Order: sequence, then C-alpha cells, then structure tokens
Amino acid sequence: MDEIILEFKNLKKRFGDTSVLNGISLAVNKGEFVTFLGPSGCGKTTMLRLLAGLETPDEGEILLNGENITTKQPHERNVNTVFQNYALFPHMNVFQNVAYSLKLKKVAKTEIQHRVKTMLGLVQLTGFEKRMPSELSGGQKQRVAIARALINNPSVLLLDEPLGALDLQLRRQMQVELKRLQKRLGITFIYITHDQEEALNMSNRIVVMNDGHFEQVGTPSEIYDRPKTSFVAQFVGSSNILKGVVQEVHQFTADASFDYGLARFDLDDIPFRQGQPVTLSVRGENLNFSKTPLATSTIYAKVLETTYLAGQLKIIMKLPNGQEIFSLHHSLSTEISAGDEVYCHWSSAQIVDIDPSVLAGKEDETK
Amino acid sequence: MKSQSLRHKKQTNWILALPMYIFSLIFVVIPLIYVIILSFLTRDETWGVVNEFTLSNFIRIFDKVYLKTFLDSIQLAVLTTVICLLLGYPFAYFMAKLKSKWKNICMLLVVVPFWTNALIRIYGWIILLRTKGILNEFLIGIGILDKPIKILYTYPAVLIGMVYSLVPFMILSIYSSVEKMDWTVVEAARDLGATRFQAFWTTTLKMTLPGILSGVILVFVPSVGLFFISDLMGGGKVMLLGNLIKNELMVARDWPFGAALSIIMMCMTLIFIGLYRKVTHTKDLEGL
Repeated sequence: MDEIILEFKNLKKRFGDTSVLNGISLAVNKGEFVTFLGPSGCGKTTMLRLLAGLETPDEGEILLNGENITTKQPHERNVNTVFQNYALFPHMNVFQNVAYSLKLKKVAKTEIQHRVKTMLGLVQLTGFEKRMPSELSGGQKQRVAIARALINNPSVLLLDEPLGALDLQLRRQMQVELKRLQKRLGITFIYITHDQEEALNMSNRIVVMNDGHFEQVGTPSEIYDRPKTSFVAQFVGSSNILKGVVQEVHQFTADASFDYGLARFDLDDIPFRQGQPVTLSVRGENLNFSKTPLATSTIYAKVLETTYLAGQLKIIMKLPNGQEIFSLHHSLSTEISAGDEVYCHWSSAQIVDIDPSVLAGKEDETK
Repeated sequence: MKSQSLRHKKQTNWILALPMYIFSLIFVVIPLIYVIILSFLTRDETWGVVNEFTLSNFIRIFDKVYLKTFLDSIQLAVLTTVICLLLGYPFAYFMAKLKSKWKNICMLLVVVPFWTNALIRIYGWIILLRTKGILNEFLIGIGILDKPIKILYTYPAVLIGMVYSLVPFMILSIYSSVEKMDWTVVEAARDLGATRFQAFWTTTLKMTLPGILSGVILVFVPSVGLFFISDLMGGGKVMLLGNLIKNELMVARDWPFGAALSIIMMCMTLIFIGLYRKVTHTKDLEGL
C-alpha cells in the first residue's frame, strides 16, 4: 500500500574497536516522518551520516527509491541534510546559501531567483536575502539551513538534532512549523533527536535506538503506551521497572512475586508459565497506593519524599530491596508524607524485556 | 552610567598601553622620521650628508638601472610567493587534517629551522647545491646525471633559497585558518551536490582565504627585501632591491639614496597590506 522510499538492511559500522551500529534495518515509507530517538552515543548520528553518504557502512546496504546507493558519494544521492550546528556557508549571504545547490546544477538564473524566493517565503525569511549568517539568530539560521536543504526537492530530508541549540519556546514553535512544512511538501523526513517530547510530538513513527541497535520501532502511542523494553519504558516518559517471577497463571492475568510482595498483571496473550522471569514497566501516573494491601497487590513501600512537578505531585518511594519507585498524582492534596508506609498497585503495567524462552513457549503452542 | 564606565575603561586602557607607545616611538617612529628626512637630504662628497633639501634621490630611482632592479625584485618576490603558496597550501591543509600526534611532529619540522641562524641554513644549501655538492654527487651516483649541473650561483638557486626561507610563514598562516575550519560546512556542500573539488573550491578555499592572504603578505613583503640569499646563492649576479639598498648604505655610502629606496619599498609594502585589508575586510592581520 505504502510506497517504500528508503530502505536500509543490516547496516554495520565500526570506528576502531568500538562498534557503533550493530546491523540495523528499516524501511521508510514515502512522506513519512520517522524519528530516531536515543541518548547521545547511541549511533543515531552515524546512521544519518551513512544515509547522507558522509560515511560508508562496513556492511549492509542502503536503497533509495529501490536503487542501491550504499557506496554513492554524497553529491550523487537525492538526499539532503540539515546539520546540527546549521553548517551555513559563512562567506555567503542567505540567498547564496539557499541557491547553492541550484547553482551547482546550473539552473537558470531567473529560476533560481524564483525558487529561492518561494523557499524563503515558506520558511518565513522573506526579506533576509542579503543577510550574512553571522547576522542571523539561531532560529533564523535554522530556517536558512532547512530552506537550503529543501530547495533541491530531496527524496528524503535528514535532520540531525536541528532544534538542539534553540531555547525551549522557539523549539516548540519550530516543531510545529517543521511538522507543517513536512505535511505540506510531502517530503520524507528522517529526524534525529534525544528529546522524547520532540519525537512524540512530530513523528509518524519513532525508532528508539540504544547502543547501536533498535530497541523498538512504532508509532508514538505504541512507543509511549506499549514499550517493549525497559530501556524504551525508561527513556520515553520515565517508568518504574519491576523485576519478578511468575507465581501463578490465571486465564487473562498472572500473579508475579517480587522480593517485596505479590502483584497481578495482565498476560496480554503472552504464554507465561510458572517460574518464568517477568519484567513490568509501570508509568508513574498509573502507580497508586493505599494504606492496606489489596488482594491483587501486596507490594510494600516506604515514602521517601514528595515533590511538586509542574502541577503534579511526585511521590518517591523505596521498596524493601532498596529500589526507588515513583508515582505521579494530579491531586496535590494527597494525604501522604515522607516516612509513611504504603502498599502499591497499578491500573496498567507493560510487560517489557520478554525473555526469548517465554516466546518460544508460544511457538510451541501454535504448533 | 554605562558610557561613563566605558570612558573610564578607555582611559585605563590608554595608560596600560603607554609603555607600548613609548617603545614604538623610540624604536619605530623616530627612526622612520629620520629615514624620511634623510631621503630628502644631499649626499656629502665623501661621507655623510649635508643639510640641503633635494628631490634628486627620488628622481634617481626612475633611472633605468634602478627601475630594472625594482622589476626584478618584484618578479622574484611574486615567483617566490606563488611557489610558496603552491607548496604551502597542500602542506598546511593535510597537516591540519592529521591526527594530533603527527600534527605536532609536522609542526616541529616546520618550526625547527627557525631555531637555527638563517645564514647558517643558507650555507647548508650551498653545500647541497654546489657543483661538487651532495645533490650533484647523489644524482650522478644513481645515474640520473653524467656530469654535475650548475645550480648554485644561478637564478633558480636564489629562488630555492627564498622559497626555503619563507615557506614556513605561508604554511603557518594557512595552517592556522585551515585548523579553524568548520568541516561540517564542507560536508554540507558535498551534501548539497558539490563534488569533492567543487566543495573545496566553493567552501574550503574561501574560508581559508584570510590565511592565504596573510601568508602571501608574510612571504611577499620580506622577499622584496631579503638580500643575503641573493648575495650568497646568486653569486652577485642577481641584484634585488634589498641588495641595492644594502649596497647604497654599506658600500656606496649614499645614505640619502638608500633612504629613498627604503621609503619606496615601504610604500609598496603598505599598498599590499592595504589591499589585503580591503579584500578581507579585516583590520587585524591573521597570524601576524
């Protein structure tokens, strides 16, 4: 149904002794806004540089519009990049910067004039043609960089943390503008960021990266609501990670035992059996507590401190094994204070880091 | 308030700079004024000058012989500068791209000659280049030549000496601007469709232009005046402006004419520096 515009298979890259990318594969659809989200050093910038042709992979291949471009030079790929630090040509004014790629292509002068004018209008920089990069603010430089990269009508636009250097307010504004621009032009965006809010706000699809591999690929709501690994659960909207062992399996639920009590969780069709390890991720807002244990949860904790966070109350608790967990509440009047002893339970939990042996059981069943 | 404190700052700055002004006055301004005055005086018959105003020193410069020396000097200086640029740019460019360990070794190789007296280094070249010197023996030894070629005491020998002496200035000033380059700008050019060469031509070269221009000045200006290289390696056959001035002052003892020549040379230099400033829009010379 969707047309695949960019595909890469089993990309590997090492720098000296360190492996930066350990074989990553993905297919990106035309017009999609895909965000690669991960902490610094996770390999996301290296991946972008491979796509731009600024580095060559040790293994694997990259297909653009079905054509293998793995070893093609940067100027031979219809892919353009918005660099993290803008990388504007300091000796050229705004017009010359934006017109650069058209001039290389020997486009007629009048057409260059027209196209640059349209593009500058699109990024709201009309009238800035004669300014030098040194005379622009960070946000304006960013717009020039975007205009310069888009004027060539690239099949795919690569953006390397483009809003990283801007202040929060401008960043939010630019997020909206970029998303709008992407929808309007229908160009595929590959966006790199370490900011989960940016990723969740703008993307059609998010790829969470860690240590040179993909942790999870999914829509923002899949990533946020159904994290598959404890890394995703903690990196995208922080979560509590609880490790236990399956104690008793019911029809749709199971009881897990932890060092510090028992708790019931939804099986989600995962064929857990007694004695298997299970890791649960619980968002702070889904974690509740009461003074007495519930039938389904006897997790005991001691309140360490309560803090106010932008209209929310954050309650930090300590489990008997020393692990700290937190709970977020909108009602600020909760009668709880440091030193209280409580029992925790949750409205929903995600099963993460599923052990392969558990899924192997599923395959056995289907056979 | 603000303007007051600014003015105060300016005042203290002026006081702090006072020693520098005094130094310049004694060692630059006064000698310069002396040279200027000298150039308008008349030469005494045997030795020294008489206080008699004349323009003849400057008129004499337009004599065919002297004009030729000017042209020869400029020609050699231009040639030296061009060769220094062609050798120095790639050297500086690749040096800046080396890993820091190798970079330091390269830098040392460029700088070490400065620790030795320039005259001694030129004598070193004489040993290398003379007819029965190391270079000729080597070339004959490996069978490239049958009999020694004469390099020393020719124009090329002077050129070799000049380039050798001045190329470090070119390397260092280009290096300082290549080192400061933001390489992502070159990557941006490549990304936007430029070939390696186009990217170099439109970004790297333009961004290192201040370094190139200051290198050109640092090589061109002294090469107009360097006299000992053509004295030692040109065998007295290559007469340059520097030699002429030296001869007028030390041999012919015509101080007023030597002073006039010096002033013309200085004016030429100032014109070049002025041009540099105009081209680069900078007030400070990079690396100077």
